[in-house]
Amino acid sequence: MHNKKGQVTIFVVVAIVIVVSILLFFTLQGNIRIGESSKDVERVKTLIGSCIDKVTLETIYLISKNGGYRSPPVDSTRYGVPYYIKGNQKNIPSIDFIELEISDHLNDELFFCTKNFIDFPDLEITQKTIITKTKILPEKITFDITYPIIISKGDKSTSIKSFKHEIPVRLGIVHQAMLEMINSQTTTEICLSCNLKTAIKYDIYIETETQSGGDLLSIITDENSNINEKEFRFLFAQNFQ
Amino acid sequence: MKSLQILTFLIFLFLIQFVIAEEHTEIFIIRGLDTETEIEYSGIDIEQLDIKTTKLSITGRNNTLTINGNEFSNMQSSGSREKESYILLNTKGEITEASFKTNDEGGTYTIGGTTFDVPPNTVVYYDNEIGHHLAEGAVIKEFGPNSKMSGINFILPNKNIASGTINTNEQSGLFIKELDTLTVGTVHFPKSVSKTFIYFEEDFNPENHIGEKYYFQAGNKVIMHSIPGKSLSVNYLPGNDFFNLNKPEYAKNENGNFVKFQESDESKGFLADSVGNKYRLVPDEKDLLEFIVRGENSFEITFGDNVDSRNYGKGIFPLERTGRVPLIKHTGVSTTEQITVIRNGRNLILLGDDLFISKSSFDSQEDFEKNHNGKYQSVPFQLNSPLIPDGHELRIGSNNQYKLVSPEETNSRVVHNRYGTEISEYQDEQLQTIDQLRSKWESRGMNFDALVLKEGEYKDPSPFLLQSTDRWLTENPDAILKNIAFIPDNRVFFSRSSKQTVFFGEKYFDQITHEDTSVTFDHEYEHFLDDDILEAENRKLFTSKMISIFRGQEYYEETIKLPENRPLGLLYDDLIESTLSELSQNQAYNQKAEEILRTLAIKRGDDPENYDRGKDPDVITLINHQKIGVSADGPNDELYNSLQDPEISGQILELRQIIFEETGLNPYIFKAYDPTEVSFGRRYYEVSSVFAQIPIPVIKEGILTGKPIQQNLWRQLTQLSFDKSSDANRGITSEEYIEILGNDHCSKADCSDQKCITYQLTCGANS
Repeated sequence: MHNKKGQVTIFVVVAIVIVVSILLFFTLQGNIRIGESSKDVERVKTLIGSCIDKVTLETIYLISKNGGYRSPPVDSTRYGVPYYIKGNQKNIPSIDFIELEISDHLNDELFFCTKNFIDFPDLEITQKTIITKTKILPEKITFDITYPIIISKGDKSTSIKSFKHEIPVRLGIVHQAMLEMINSQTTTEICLSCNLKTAIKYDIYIETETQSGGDLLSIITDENSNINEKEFRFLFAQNFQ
Repeated sequence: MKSLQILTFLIFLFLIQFVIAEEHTEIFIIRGLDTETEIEYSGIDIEQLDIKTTKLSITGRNNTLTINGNEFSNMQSSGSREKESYILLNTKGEITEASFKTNDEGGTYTIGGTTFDVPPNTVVYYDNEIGHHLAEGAVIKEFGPNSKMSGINFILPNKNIASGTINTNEQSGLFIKELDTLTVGTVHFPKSVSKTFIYFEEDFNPENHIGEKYYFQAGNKVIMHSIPGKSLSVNYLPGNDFFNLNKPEYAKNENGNFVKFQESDESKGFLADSVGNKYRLVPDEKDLLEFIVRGENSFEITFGDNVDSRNYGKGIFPLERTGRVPLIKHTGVSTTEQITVIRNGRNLILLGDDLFISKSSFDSQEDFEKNHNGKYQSVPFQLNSPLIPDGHELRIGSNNQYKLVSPEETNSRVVHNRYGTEISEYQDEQLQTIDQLRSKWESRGMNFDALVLKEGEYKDPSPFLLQSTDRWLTENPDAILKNIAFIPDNRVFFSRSSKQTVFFGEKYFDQITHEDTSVTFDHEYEHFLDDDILEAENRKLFTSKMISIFRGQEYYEETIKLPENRPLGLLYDDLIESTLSELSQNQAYNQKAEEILRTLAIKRGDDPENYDRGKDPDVITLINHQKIGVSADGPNDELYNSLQDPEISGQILELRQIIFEETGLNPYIFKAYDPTEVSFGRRYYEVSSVFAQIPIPVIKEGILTGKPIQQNLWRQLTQLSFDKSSDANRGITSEEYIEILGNDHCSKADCSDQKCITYQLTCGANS
């Protein structure tokens, strides 16, 4: 009898452990809590997922075209490309800064992309502030997106919180190449052979173009990264006069 | 007896001859310490000036003079000119000074060991302290040791024309003394602080001259070599054939038309271009090419890989017309102190411990031309140097553009100023003049003009503009545009009133963004095509217009309101108006617009919470005003000045960005014209041209993934573009239309590839 009781106890404990583990698993995943209506949640998750896919790519394209900025800073060429060097002034955005710019832009654009979930009139969806942490690595960019959402339908509600995403764009490498290009310059010269070494080392292409007023536009193209089938291009400007 | 008479007569004749000779030729002996100089002369006065110097004054009209067998003939006497004619000899019989003029026959003289021909009636001057002064046209036949010759346009033994000063050493080797300058042919040696040897011998062996600073040129080879602590400067002048500092000059008949090349023209220095028109090469004064070789560095150039060996009578230089651009091989010791320099057009290239380009190469065009007396064009060549990694080579084109090409030409990882124009490895692919362009496209009926609209004389569009135009025409073989004009300012526009001409501003491309130049051509060509449709519409609506004369304008306006009669321009206007309306519902757009207007109010001192909104322009006007403001002749009004404020300028840039993100198009599409002016009935004249710049795959992607405003706008623009296309020359073709829209455009599934859905007036007609 004692044995039977003991067996029942063990079964109960094991069952509790399994249930707790399952709960813990989903909680740690940050996705689903009690009361999930999986079909509705999947619809919402699919929208958010496609928005993340789209918006991250658009953001990276935009910010790279803008030399690391969401919007061109005041000290930009007339075509909106930021000056990294103007006369004796050097103003090169760091990787940390670009990560913040990407995150800020993503937070805004993601909000607009989901359109306050108006496409889900059958669901009551409440959302809180989106917080994105972007990490630019050499070969990829990772996004840790906290997008707290509670999906309610009838008396059931589900919360979704965090999303992870990454895109294989070598912004980290391109940024490093840009730094090497600028660091190889002297006060009076640009080092062409150094630029070639950098281009070969990182398997990138460097194009410069003279513009009016002595502006020199630099474009780094990485064929190993592409955004919506377009080559990845990073732009910055210099003016030495 | 008779024999005796004859003998007596002969003796008499002999004696007579002797007596006559005694009268005209005398002999004078100068005795030195251990030398004896015999002077045989007539018509010469000899005077012992001092114990060391004997003066021979040329006084007789028919003078003769031989000094130790060295004959001096054809000299004019003193009496025939202002200056005295004389030769001074020292005790050894050597000429220490000579000054005389040749007679009508000219002469050949050997003075100071150097033998030279002198043209008729020109001055010969020599001083053993300062050397020879050679008259223009004098020909040096053989150099003597330790001599110095200076003059303008004298001729060296190798037939090159020289100006400046040239010296010889004890072995009669040529050199340029420090601080002297010399030009040989079209090669100029500026002042240097050390002497430079120059060699023109075919059998020159560099191994024998390792410790020398020298310039060698013979056959098809040039070597520039410097040594530690020294520098060698060489400038190649316009007309140089080695590096092709030339441009073609076309032969034309009295009507200004090109003349076809005939075989007999070759002997006159003419050539045939690729379509058989006749031209010759003339110096290009805008070209700039200088080398300064410093330290232990050398450049070696062998001209003539794939050489066309024709010689056009321009000295000994071979030509490389149809061959590759010259390859310069650099060897040397890298050092940061002794930097070797090449200035080629705008590019100042430095070879030190790495290969550099000076930042001054990117000065504004105006500054550069001012600093270099209007010389700014580069000369094509390729540089091989140990400073360039992985066997890459630097190739420079004729537009100041360059790239570092891989050994197999598989890629160019570093490129400057490409703008879509090729940096060719071949000489003859690089168009230099407007006549070359005219000749090439003559059979297509193209007219090219270089016009002066405002500023000074403008005859020569830049090679960049010419090559960009050539490229666009090549890539658009069906284009029906016939008139292109190049202008000296920074505008690009289409003009209906000037024979449907597209005008390209010389300075426009200095301002272009990172877009390919062909995109600009596409834009203007679309204006041309729209104008062509307008012509067809006018023909079609002619009857309505005529009737409206009697029945009033309302009749015409009612007519064009009918869907089947709606002109293309008005359909575009409808589309832009509806897009603007959609934009005005956009939150980000409205926020930014409000922010700009508040900033404007603050800047003019109004209360930002309660200002007079009547003073505000609409934000689209601001955007357009800002764009207009960047042109060279931008408005100088209050609004334009306020837009120069960095804060407002930055905010407008942000607004432009929002518009771009929402519509996928440059905000320039909203530029509004007065319909009675250039746009011929349209208010939004730019939208079709801006859309025409976008590649088909990008349009497809934009319609699939763009924001709602963009998707709607681009679908309708695609339909309009398809509707207005009448043949392969314009608009979007059926294949492209299906590629872009698939079966996804219309509400009904089968409506793809249906033409004339939106625009119908001339749709389907071959206008």
